[in-house]
Parts: sequence; structure tokens; C-alpha cells
Amino acid sequence: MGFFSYFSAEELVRIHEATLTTMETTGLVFTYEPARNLLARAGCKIDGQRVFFPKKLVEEQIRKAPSQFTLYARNPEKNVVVGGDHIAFIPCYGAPFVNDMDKGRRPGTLLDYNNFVKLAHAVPYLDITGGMMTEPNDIPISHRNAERLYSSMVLSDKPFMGAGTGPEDAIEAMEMASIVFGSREEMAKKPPFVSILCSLTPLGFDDKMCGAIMEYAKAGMPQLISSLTIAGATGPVTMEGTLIVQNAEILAGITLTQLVREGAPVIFAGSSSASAMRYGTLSIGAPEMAVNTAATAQMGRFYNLPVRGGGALTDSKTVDSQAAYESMMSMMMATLSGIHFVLHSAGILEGYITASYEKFMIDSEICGMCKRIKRGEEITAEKLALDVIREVGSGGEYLTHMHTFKHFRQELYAPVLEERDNYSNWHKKGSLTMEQRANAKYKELLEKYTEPSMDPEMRKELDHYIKSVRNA
Amino acid sequence: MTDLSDITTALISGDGDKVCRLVQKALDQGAPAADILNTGLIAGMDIVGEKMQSGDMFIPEVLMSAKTMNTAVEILKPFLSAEDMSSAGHIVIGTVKGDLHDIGKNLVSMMVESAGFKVTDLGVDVSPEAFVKAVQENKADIVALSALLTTTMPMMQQTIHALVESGLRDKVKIIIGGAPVNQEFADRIGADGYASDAGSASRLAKQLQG
Repeated sequence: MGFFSYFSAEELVRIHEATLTTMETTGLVFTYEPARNLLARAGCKIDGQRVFFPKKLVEEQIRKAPSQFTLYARNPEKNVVVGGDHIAFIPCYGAPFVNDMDKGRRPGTLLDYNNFVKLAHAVPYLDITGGMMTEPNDIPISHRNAERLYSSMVLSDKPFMGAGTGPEDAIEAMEMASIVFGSREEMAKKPPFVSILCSLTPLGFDDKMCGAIMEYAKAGMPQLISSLTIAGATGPVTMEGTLIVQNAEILAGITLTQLVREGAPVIFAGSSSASAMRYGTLSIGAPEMAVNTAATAQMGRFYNLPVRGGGALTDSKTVDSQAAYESMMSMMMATLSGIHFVLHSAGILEGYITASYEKFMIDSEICGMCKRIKRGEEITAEKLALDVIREVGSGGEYLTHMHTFKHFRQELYAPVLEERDNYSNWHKKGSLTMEQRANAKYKELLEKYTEPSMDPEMRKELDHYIKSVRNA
Repeated sequence: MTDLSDITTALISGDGDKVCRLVQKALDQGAPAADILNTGLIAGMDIVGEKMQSGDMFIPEVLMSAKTMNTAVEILKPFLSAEDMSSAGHIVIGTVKGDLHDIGKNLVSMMVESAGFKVTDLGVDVSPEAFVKAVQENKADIVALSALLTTTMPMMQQTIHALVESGLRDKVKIIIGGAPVNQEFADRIGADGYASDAGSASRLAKQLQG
């Protein structure tokens, strides 16, 4: 499949040059002293907390990051390649609330988190289970990181996401993961999880994020260096200007990672979008989100780095047509533009605030459809089917043809939730809406869920770890 | 004489230079500062508030009017008596400890200031003790707490707890805002109000003082 390109080659170079100029002349604030010291030693000019990046340094360092890497799952069949021609879908992240048709909107709990791990485990189109589908508000903050990791490792054998909160949590994540995945050195060779660390936009990084970035880089663990610039609020109102701010933040973060450890795997991650100017808040369902997704994909390709963007994103408060079309817009753009890592591919409502069970299932269907589009077609004799066309000729049918029988399961996407039946049959089945079908589906998946087996010794050690956290 | 409605119109269109020029002209022509403030400026901000609610004005336009308003008030200040200056109240505002996000908080500051409140902005990463101290020292009528992170939401509760402990709780109204919080959370932690954006924060503050 070819890639959709938003900008011309000359335009990309201008964006890149403008970014480097911003990094060199405006600079970025790093509140974290160890980061400033390292950047100073590499040749950055420092003024207070502000760091000015020489153009050459940035270009040199970002070239050192790998263009793709693999996440190694507990079950090797579920390994995920990040980069190249691949697209990986990862569910919602960071939602403080959850929502479903039965109980409505409420603060997320550890039970909800676990349910989302199970759902992400069960849906074949989700490649990685995620790391913070919802905030487990019912347990102490000091336990949350360990509990999330424990659930992610025990309830699924897919790769997962690690701590994106700070250096202590990052260290804990690596400590817990090494119970299952081996020593730090082994994990650096075969990383089982990826974490997301964010800039403090505009043009800064705070202590916690910077500390975690350096810990992960030191360990050679993959991470997303992510910027969410809000056009008109934390960045210029133009998507062009916002792209410069986003780009400068990501490149600054990546430069830091490569100075900590050459070749540390990173994902070039941009999720900038527009302000909703009636309220001065972030809008993620805006068409400008799709613009930024396409632009981010192209910039990532320009730098030869794996790239994150898009998602099943909506500002809608409920599972309605706004939620559906906004989500598909961004998912489609991510798919067509060549994004490799799509965080928030399932469940998001209300601009990241809520994780919906029903939307999780509906978005999973979108993921399936996008994967089908992404797979692409091959121009081969078998696929072109000239013989079959000749054989059937005019006025015949293909339904009974061996070619159809042989290929239809691979060729045509089979929807899980979509209603394609005729009216009277649909009516007989209870006239169920998409939301009602999604509600039934998530319950069915949770009911059928079986925990993947784990080596008893590892399990014992993990249980021991989590008990010590709970009793602390 | 300068027609004060010209000031109102220029304020609504966010034309700072023109408003300052007209305010200066009105003063030169002998218009009482209090009239310029009430009939020209405050009346303008009331219209801005209405237009924002009805969706006819967008946030960057509202903020430009608010900024203009604040500059014009600075010109008028030397000519206003203590009585004219009597503010709508004193608000202490800040982002709670552990949280470094300040854009929403700054917008609220600007909006309540243009609505006639005196504002003491404590910045970001403000400890409960610093809030208590500022409320005490400024004899604040309202304390406004901001948080963007789910992990710093509990710090709002701890800040309220510190105000209770210090015996100030009954003397001050507490309002909260930020993306992850809502009315239910405000009720749960014992705040007096919640506002979802800068415009409604300003209305809420006026309502609590009213």
C-alpha cells in the first residue's frame, strides 16, 4: 500500500529547517538538571533552564535511533514490529472515567482496568494491551503503577505499555517486567513493553517526564517521545506553526535519549490538534487532528523513525454518530498516512476523559477495517483472476466458483458488529443498535475470557511482588 | 463629549489601542472615571460574557476584550476613588502541588480580573500550606484550585483539608476547575463550586460573591 503524503518534499525540508532554527534560537526549557548537564556536554548552549540545540547535534543524534524495533510478547506469536510497513493498534490511555450502557459514567477502577486488559487481549486487531486504559481511582496512587503492570503481564500475553508517570515508576516497571522477561540486558535486546513520555508543551520537559525518559533510554527500553500541542492554545493557531512546536519537542526528547544511550529505540510521537475556540479547550475530533496525523507520519518517515499518531478520537460525550465519524476520520488518516503506532485506537470518548466499553468494541471493528485496508493488494495472476473472469463471462455468477470459495475468507473483511442483514431479519433479532450490539459483545468477550498460562515460578514471584506493594 | 458607547464597542471588538485612546479622551474631556468604568467598560464586558455564552464570540476574542479591559482599568485607576475601586472580591488562585499546567488557570485569572476581582496568582505546583498562607494574608474571598492531571486531583482535597485545619474554611469560598474534575468531584471533596471554563468561572465567582 502506498502512503498518503500531505506535504511535498520541499515543504518537508522547510518544516525541518524551521524546527531546527526554533531549537537553536528559541530553545527548550529542561527543568531536570541531569538532562541539562548531558545536553551541555554534547554542545548545547544553556541559559538558566533553557537549552539551545545546535542543528548539527540534532541531525546527528536522531540518525542514531533505529528505524524499527520489535516488542517481544510473552507469547512469541504476538510479537509486534513497530515501524516499516506495520501498523499497531493500542487501546485508550489515561482516561479517568469509564462509561457503559448499564452503569453510566463513573470514575474508573482497577476492575475496569482489568476488564480492558482482558478485552484488549481478546480483540485480535489490538496488538498491544495498553498501560493505562483507565485510571484505577479506587486504589492508592502509590499502588497504581505496580497493579497496572501486574494485570497487564498476568491477564494477557501480548506486549503492553509501561509506566509513563516518572522515573521511580519507570524503574519499578523494569523491575517487575524482569521477573517475567529476564535481566535488564535481556530486556534491552528483547523489550516486552513500550512507554509514553510527554513534553510539557510549549517547548519544555518537566522533571518527572525527563527523569523517566533518561531511565528508559539508559536501559535501552523503547519509548514514545510524545508532544500534544494545541493549535491556538499551546502552539500557534496555524497547523504549520503547531507542527514546528511539536517537531521541536519530539526532536529535543529524541536527541536526549540518543545522548543517554546510542541506538535506544524511540517512537516519534505527535498527537497535536486544534483548540475548540468556543471554550479554549482541546478538540481531538477536529479535522486538524487528521491533518496533524498525516503531517506527523510524514515527518517520522522523513527522519526514518517509527511514528505514532491518530487514534479512535472523539470529543463526543456518548457513543453516537459524532463519536463514530470522528474516530474513523483519525483512524483512517493514521492508516493511510503510514503511522506505525496508533495509541487510543479503542474506547476514547470526551477528548481522552472517558473510556467507554461499548466504544471499545466499536473501535475494535474500525481497527479491523483499517488493518484490512493497510494490508494492501497484490497484483498477481491469482489475484487478478483473468481466467476466472473469462470462465464466468457475462451474466454468470461467482458465488459458486472455487476461486471465491478459496479466497473469500482472506480477501473480504468479516465484520464482527456491523449489521449487514436485511431489515426484517434485523427487526426479528430485536432491532438492536450498534451500541446495544457492542454492549452484548464486550460482555460476551469478558465471559469467554480465559487467562493465558504463565510459568508457575514467575507467577509466584510476581504475586509475591504485588503482595509486598499491597501490604506496604 | 466622548460617547461611552464607543468605548463599549471598541472593547467588544478587542481593539486595545482604540479603547485606551477613547478612555484617555473621555478623561481629558472631564468624564468621571467611575462612569467610564461602569457605563463604558463593565457594560462592555457584560455583553462579551453574553456573546461568549451564545457562541457569537470565541475564546481568543473574549480574552482580547478582557486584556483590553485590564489595560483600560490601569489608566483609570489614578482617577478612581476607593469606593469606585471596591472590587468584586479577592481571589487567590493557583495550580495545586505536583501539577505544572497553568494555561487554564491563567485564562481564569484574566477573566475574573476583567470581571472586577482582585487576583493573587500563586502560579503552579502550589502546596496546601502556600494556599493557606495566601488566603490568610490577602483575606481572600475565594480560593480557586486548578489541576489537569488525574494524579493531582487528590491534592485539591488535601488543599481543602489544610484550609479546614487552619480554621479558614468558613471564611473563604473554594472553587475548582481543570479537565479531569467535575461538579460531582467538587461536591465530594467539599468545594463550593466547579466551573468548566474561564467564562463560567467568572460567572461562578460573581454568583458566590453575590
